[in-house]
Amino acid sequence: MATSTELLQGTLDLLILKAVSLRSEHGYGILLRIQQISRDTLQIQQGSLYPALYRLEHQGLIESDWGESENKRKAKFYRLTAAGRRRLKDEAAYWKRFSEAIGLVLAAAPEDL
Amino acid sequence: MQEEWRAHIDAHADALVAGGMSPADASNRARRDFGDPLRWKEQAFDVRGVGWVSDLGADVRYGLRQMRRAPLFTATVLMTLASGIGLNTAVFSVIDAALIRSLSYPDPERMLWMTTVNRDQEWVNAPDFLAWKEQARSFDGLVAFDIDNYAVYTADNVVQSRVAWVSEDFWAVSDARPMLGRLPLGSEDAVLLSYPFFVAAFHGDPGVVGRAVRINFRQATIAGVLPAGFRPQLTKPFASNSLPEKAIDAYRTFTVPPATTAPNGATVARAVMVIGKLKAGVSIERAQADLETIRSRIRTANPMPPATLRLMPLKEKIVGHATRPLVVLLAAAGLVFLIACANVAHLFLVRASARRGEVAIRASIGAGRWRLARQFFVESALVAAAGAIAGLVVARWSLATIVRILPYGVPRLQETTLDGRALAFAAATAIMAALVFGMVPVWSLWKDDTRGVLKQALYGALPIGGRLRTRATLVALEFALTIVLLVGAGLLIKSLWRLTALPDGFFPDRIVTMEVRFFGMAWQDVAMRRAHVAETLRRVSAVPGVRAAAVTTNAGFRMRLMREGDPFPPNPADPTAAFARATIASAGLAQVMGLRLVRGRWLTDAEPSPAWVINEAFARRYFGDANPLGARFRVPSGADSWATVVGVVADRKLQRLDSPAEPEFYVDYAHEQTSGHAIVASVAIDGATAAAQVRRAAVGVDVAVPILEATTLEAVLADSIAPYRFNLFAFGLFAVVALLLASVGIYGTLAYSMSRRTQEIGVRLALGAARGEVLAMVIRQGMTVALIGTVVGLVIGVTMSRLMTGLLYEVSPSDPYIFAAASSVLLLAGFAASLGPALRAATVQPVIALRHE
Repeated sequence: MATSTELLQGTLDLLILKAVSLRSEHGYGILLRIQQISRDTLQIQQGSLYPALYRLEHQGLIESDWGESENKRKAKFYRLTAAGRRRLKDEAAYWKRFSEAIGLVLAAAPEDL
Repeated sequence: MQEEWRAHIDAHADALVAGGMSPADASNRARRDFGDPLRWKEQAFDVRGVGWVSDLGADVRYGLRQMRRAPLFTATVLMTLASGIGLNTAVFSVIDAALIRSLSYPDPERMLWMTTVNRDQEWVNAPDFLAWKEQARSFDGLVAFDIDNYAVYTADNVVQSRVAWVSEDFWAVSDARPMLGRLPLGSEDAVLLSYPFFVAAFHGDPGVVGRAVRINFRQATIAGVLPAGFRPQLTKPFASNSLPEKAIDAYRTFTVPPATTAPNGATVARAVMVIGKLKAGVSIERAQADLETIRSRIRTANPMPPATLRLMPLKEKIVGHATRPLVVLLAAAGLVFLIACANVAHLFLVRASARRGEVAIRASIGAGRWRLARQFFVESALVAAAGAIAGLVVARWSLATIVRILPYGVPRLQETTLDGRALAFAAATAIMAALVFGMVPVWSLWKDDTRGVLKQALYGALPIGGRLRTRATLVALEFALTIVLLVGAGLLIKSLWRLTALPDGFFPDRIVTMEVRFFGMAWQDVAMRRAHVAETLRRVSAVPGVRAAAVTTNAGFRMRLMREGDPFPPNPADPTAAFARATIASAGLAQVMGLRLVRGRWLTDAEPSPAWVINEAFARRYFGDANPLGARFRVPSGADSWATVVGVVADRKLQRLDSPAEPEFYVDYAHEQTSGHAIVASVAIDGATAAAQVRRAAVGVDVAVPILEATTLEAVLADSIAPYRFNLFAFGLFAVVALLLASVGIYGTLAYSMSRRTQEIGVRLALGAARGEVLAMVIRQGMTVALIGTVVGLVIGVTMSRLMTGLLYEVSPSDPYIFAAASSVLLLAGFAASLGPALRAATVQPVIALRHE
């Protein structure tokens, strides 16, 4: 198992938005999706997902409906709204720039200066 | 939310099981992975912007815990608020029903009461009424009425009932709408039953409507039954009837008779009471002028006694006599309320200074001022709300008690309900007190230098000086207000004691009294009536346990007297004319009533000529020191022959306990001609048992004579002092509550200041102070406050007690003994309340005290 990484503050929202942008998911599904995509690198304390979900829903970035999960359980499914899609785009672009910048900084060698 | 999370955990557990874990382990692991649901819940609340709700929940929980942790404080505040709010609300509700709410007539403000006044007697002569009715232009209706007790013969019983005779206009003026049957037609002799009487006496049988019922000796048709809420107020029955006020059982049509001429040539007119309804827009002055014009017209035609005419709003007449006691009652309740508020303020102040340290600590570890303020607010609000609820319970209870024990004389009392406005007012005030004073520790947040307070709090040296003075002032105020109530209660106790102090040889619980009335033509013959009474007396005397029996008048009538030698006919306007209360007497009366002969002799059953025995008040009034024996009197409308005074008896108050002795005379039964009698018997056995036996014996004499009721004289007298009893009960209750509150106040102050001074006292003791000195110091501290309060209160009390003049009997409102007694009781209570804290202070162990805090 790869070394796990604590989430940076504020990144959970982005991950959730990304996860539900692929397809409509319930809470546990979102968790599995994030772990699957990040190859189990990112550890999320499972319950902490929910305050974040409610926050996003409150902000109108995602919306939810009750439905039935694959193993016949009643579950709440979350999907991205139009606002959510825009936010995801902005955030993703920001993260891309940010991580490139961090990458550049970290890749700097003495001779570059 | 819970459901969603449960689904999550279950799904995770399923996945773990699929990965090869045992179900139990999987379930535990899934739960662990999920984390603390409470934490997520809190975060989720924050997300939704409802955080303050859960904070509030925490504040409420904290507040409840604080209440539990200080049970004495909580209980005291609750009781204080409950008694203050409860008593005040109950009294206000009574007053609202009795004084403020209007009469139950349509257009109540147009209802008038009118009467002619001759000396202190108020009545209207029937011919006058007939003239008013015919000629007056100011009224929409004029009603003549009279109220008396009658025997009503139901199918299975004879019941004593209160009947109001009402003339025709009554039905329209009172807007009577029978629920069964109809209104009476014209001059028909009919009755309408009140609903309670219909149920009680006729078992609610609708079949009685249209049937005839015998009322004494006349038949009347039951025209209908009035609805349960039909209770138009009528004035009290004529004072001369001596009837206690009671609900009207039946309304009977009344055809007002014109004047008739008696066999001896005198004009006889029936006396009635009159109410009327003004025409819309007509003033009371115009109505008065209208009636005066009519009166002057009839006077010139037929000279009548020059009586004054008096008109007043009916409401004023009905309510007037009840105003004073109720206002005093309200004042008393108001005092209790003030004391309660002072106590609540005081209790919260004590706690406030105790908690300044706590506040400082909490502020210094990061609690926001507003957050702290809110929490204190919630705490105070909780206590206040609980107090208000308890107050509601007290209000209901005291209202029920008041309604049960208040004499009937207070109008509309039966209609009293808990008044929402009063409750709201009292609760709002008390809660305000709790909130304002509950917030004091928070106020110190803004004022105090937190670090300084913290330091002092940690070293247990928080100063209490200034606050202590505030509290002492509050307690002194409580004492001052309490003494006013104590004085009031004391004055009433003394009144009641004066009232019920019975002369020697008079045992009203051992005297049975029973009314005998003769109605109808058959009994016009005096000899027949005397024979009946003689036979009744013979049989009653034979009842086992009866010692002596006599005949007397049920209610003495005030009579105009003529002394031999006075001009005849008497000048009606002569202010020196003699009046006295006439009482029929037979030989046994002196023994039954325990009358003490002062001069001459008592009456016999066989006086050869009319004989009177007068009382001392009579002798003083009309003879001064001269010898009254042998003087001759007569009453203008009575027997033609003169009656000779043969004896003088000591003054007695027999009819009404609260009236002072007035001139009275006893006339020998063999020579009187009135028709209302009472048989009285002194008995050697239990009065109530004897009453039933006496009645049975009397009923057998002649079924044609209705024997209404036999009861003990004690019961009759108790009715006449019922208002005093009530005042005393109410005042006594208030005074006791006030005393308790004030004691709690002084106890609380001392106990608290002692707990703050434990260290100081320890030092004093360690440095050699005697325990007695410490004891004296603390008691002195308490008593100083009590004494200041008492002195201030006595000054207030002297002023306030004058309000009570009308409620007292043979007691001066500034009776020094009562003031002294009230002060003693109060100071004693103050002393008792100081003793506990003082003893605790004196038994402090110096070593422990020095280590204290």
